[in-house]
Amino acid sequence: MKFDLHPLRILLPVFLTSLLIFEAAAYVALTPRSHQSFLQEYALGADGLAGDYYPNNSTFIQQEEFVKWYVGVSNQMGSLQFVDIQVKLGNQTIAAPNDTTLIPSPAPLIVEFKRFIQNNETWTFPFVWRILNFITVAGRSRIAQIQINNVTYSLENSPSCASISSCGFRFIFELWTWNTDLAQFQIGWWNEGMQQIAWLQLWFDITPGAP
Amino acid sequence: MMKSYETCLLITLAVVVSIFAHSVQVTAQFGSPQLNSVIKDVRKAEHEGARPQELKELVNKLNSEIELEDQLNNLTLQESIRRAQLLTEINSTLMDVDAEAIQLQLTASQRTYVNHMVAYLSGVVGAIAVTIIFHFSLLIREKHRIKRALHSKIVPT
Repeated sequence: MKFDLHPLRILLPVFLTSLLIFEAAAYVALTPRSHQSFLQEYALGADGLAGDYYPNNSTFIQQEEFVKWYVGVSNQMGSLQFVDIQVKLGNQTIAAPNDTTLIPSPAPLIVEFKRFIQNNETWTFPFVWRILNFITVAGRSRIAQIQINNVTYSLENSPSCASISSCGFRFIFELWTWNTDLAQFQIGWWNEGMQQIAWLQLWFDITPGAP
Repeated sequence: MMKSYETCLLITLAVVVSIFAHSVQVTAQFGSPQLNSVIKDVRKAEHEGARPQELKELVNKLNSEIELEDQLNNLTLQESIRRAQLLTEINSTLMDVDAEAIQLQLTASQRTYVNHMVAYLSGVVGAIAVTIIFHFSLLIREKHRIKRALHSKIVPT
């Protein structure tokens, strides 16, 4: 009996070539594509748009006047993130977070908003605030009480200035994420061995006088 | 003698209560080892290939746990009963999420393995199919060639 090797000589390369092509296609389909990982932080005005941040389009806020913003975080990190928005009250002289040295702002922390966000998800929350009270002690004026989302905060060491109307206050929204290696929150996030930070600031001035 | 015994008992009780209170406070803090371990397990499940809708339930539970921790942090020292209730609820939520995350890890890992096997085996099946089609097309071509040769006329020149 004679075994014909001729078809095998033709078909084996065909089989191997198509196997290589199909397996390569399967590998490409199954391997997750590498993409840039990042978190995005944003602030929107009262209408949920990038505008109308202040009542009457003026940064001068009267005592007890409500201001409504929306703050949000978008997760494009490729994994679940536990984020913490730290809201700090600063003025013109207090330093903002440093993008180079990655040092958070030394401004006093007022409130934190924490949330678990899935990959490709966005979390937006309302930030409604008003100045309840400001005081002047030894020629220095500062905000003494502030209300955020219906919770009143008494501020012991808020930034002070010579005059309340010329202070130039700002809310600083720092984005912190949970680091499972350190088991604590860290400013910003780690991406490919590099730490990156994201923060926002919204300025306002105070007009003395009743609303 | 009896008095010193009672004093001793009181001191021991005070120490035990303070240790217990301390451990309760530690559990309540953000950054407790339990929370960190749960986050790790949920991320592991995600890495193993858990679907977003499967993770959604765990994420919702984790977010409810944050709300409980916020409530706990706003309690006064006098509200010890509520504190104990919240701590129990927090611990039970974390344990629940952890157990589900571990289960999800297994399910997702098995599903991912099966999906990979199916994908790579499909490649082999595809290659076999291509080879068979190629083989039959060769046979048909050969058949036609023979047919053409048999039908051809020999014209003397």
